[in-house]
Amino acid sequence: MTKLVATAARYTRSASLMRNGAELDIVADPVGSQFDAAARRLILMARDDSSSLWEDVVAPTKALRWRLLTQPQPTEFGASVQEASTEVAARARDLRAAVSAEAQCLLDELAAAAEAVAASDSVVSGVLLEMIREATVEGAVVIAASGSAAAGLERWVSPQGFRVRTVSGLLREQLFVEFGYAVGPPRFFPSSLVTAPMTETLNFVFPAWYADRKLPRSPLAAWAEGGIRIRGTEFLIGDTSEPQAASAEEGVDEEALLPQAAWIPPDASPREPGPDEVTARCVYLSGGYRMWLDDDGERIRAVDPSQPGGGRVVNIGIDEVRPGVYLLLRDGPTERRALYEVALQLLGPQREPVEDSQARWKGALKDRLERLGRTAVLRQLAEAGVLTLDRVPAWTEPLLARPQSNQDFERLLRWLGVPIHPTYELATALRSQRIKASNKIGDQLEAVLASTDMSRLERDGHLRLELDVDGFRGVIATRVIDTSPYPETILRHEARVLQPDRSSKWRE
Amino acid sequence: MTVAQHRIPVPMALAEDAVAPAVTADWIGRFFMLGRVAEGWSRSRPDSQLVIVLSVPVRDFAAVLVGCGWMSATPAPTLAPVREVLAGLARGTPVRVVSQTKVFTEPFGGIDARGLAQLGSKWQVDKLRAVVPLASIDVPRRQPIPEPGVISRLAGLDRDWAARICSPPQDLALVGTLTRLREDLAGQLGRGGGSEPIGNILLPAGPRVVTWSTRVYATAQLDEELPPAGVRAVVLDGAPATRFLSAIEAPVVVSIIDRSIADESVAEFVMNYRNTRGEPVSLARDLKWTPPQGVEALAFEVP
Repeated sequence: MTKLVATAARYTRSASLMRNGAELDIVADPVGSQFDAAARRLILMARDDSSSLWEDVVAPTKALRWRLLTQPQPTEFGASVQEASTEVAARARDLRAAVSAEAQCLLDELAAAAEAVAASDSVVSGVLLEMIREATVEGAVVIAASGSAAAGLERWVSPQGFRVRTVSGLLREQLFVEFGYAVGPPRFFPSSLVTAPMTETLNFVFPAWYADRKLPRSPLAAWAEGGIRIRGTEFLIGDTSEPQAASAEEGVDEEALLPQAAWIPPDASPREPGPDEVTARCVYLSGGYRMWLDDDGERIRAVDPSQPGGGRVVNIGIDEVRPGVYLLLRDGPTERRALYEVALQLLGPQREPVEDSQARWKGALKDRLERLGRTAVLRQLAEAGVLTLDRVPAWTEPLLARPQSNQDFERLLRWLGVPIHPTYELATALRSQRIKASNKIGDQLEAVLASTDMSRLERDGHLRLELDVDGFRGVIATRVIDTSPYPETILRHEARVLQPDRSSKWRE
Repeated sequence: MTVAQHRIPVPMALAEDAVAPAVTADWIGRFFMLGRVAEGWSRSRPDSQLVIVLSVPVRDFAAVLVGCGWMSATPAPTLAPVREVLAGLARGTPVRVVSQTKVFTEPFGGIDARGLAQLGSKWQVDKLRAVVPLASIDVPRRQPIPEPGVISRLAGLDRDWAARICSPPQDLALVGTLTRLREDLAGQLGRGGGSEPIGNILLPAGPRVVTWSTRVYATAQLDEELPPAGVRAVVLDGAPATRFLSAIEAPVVVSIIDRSIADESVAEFVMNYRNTRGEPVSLARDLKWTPPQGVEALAFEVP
């Protein structure tokens, strides 16, 4: 299929799914339902107890629940449900001695339910198999909610000739198939699965105890002309006479049941950062890492595994760093420090004048901030006509070449009483070398990623890349598992540094 | 020339290159028409900026199609007669010249005693169809004149073809991933069996071109350099390019968001920009344009 034919097919499929809607195949699953009920009660109990006592059992419980929804293959084809089930039961028993009689009772129920779901094959697997067999091998694709889910499902259905792909895998391979069977509830998938479909029809297959059946929608739909809204038609399969879906009065919404962390709000809003501090959010990353992500106005490098080789490296804004995004991070000193060093080298004989000039205006700004205080400085700069005031504290940062806006930079220098020329030109030269260095690294990363197996990255969540550029040997591509909604004040040099953190094991 | 007089009926067709089979679809003509109506709108409302956001199932070709529509609606340049232009030029002034068969750049070497213009070789002045002075040229270059194809003829661009090739409107910029935009620019746009290279309609700027119309930027380039003041329309192809929305001052900005890869943050960013800076505009009511199936569209005006 040529690019143009593929493009035309995307418009047709998008229009057709909008007309016909998607099908939700909701399977009665009494065994899973028992576990879900116990999991919900556990979350409630843990929420009412501020100690971190429960975390060891809550994390694998959420993971098990997620795996039941996304990896219903029979036990002989994958151990991920078993692994989580064993962990839940073991941690529940560990915790027993430390809690009240009522809580003990819940933990016993949870352990028993966790063991029960692992002891028998999921009813969803039977339904799914029947459905894909009705389609042809060529006409069907099983769509997995994640790379790890795809690996498990593949062991099961690929011996029978069926294909399993993640949504990004479908896009990457430009795999146009007639019937798509997504394993898991709609909200576990990126909205593009329904808003920009690769398949002609789309079914979601998941157990009835999962309550949230809303289809993802385009975030512009509510305001746009021609808004893309996809209707879902529900089909109940099996004996659904007993109430299956947990009702809302049980008090735990789906958000709280996802494997992501439960973030505890800090007691107070973060204090005003000092001269060597920044505010940043904690980001948990696949592979057992975390880092502090600060907003210094610069974009951050990421990988888009859905793209063909040559277009995988993207620079994204800090607000785009969300669960599921794959970041590219240096192992060791941060990329911006390395880029700064390379840019200085590229400046050649200009290096010294640039360093002196940068130190002068940044020193002058720092001095004013210390002498007058941040509030007074911002007020005076506003009067001087500087627009990007929120960036002012970052401008003292040595690694940042200059304010983005020409006008703001000139006004700042004038206000500081620093000669505009050649300060302006020297800072611009530094920025331009930095961009050059950054583009070169980007090209190298692009070349390495073009020959990297993206389905491996999606399965494992992280991957180490070896580059052949000075100062840039090891780069880690890693999936964002979770980002904290609460900013905290940290030391500047801690920002964007990869740190080992094992606590994310059950959140992936 | 108004849009209404030259309404181009759908369906239009696209092909990946001159030999590839053409694909006819509704969205092709609609995107083209959007470029045309946006051009007309911007001339009737010179004091405000029109922002149009298109969310498409996949980005391919959308930006160049909107660009082609825009270009098809731009007015022809008004050039003085060749003899008059040459009479006013100092010797050595770089010029772009359109002859019967070629477009070329040369420094102007004056007019000799026999009345021949020195432009690399000697030219009879009445054999020259159009001349404009340029700010500079690096080396003289020449190329055959592209023939106006089916789309240019339909839009009436062929009437002032020599002037257009000599001094094309330089008021459009495309921003996105260069390799992808170049692939799209290699396509052919057609209707009713005929087709025309998209590159001839848009005349993309490049290091070795003799004449050019459309600036093409890699997204990252905008960090250093924004489209200059004369650019009246900027097409931001993709979510990363759309992030520059608030920095673009051109009277018309069209953002193409590829739903298959964009996450929600870019939509939030766009909505936030509209809510803080813009006034909603109805495409159907105010611009008389409706999106093709599978496309969401949103427009607003920034005063």
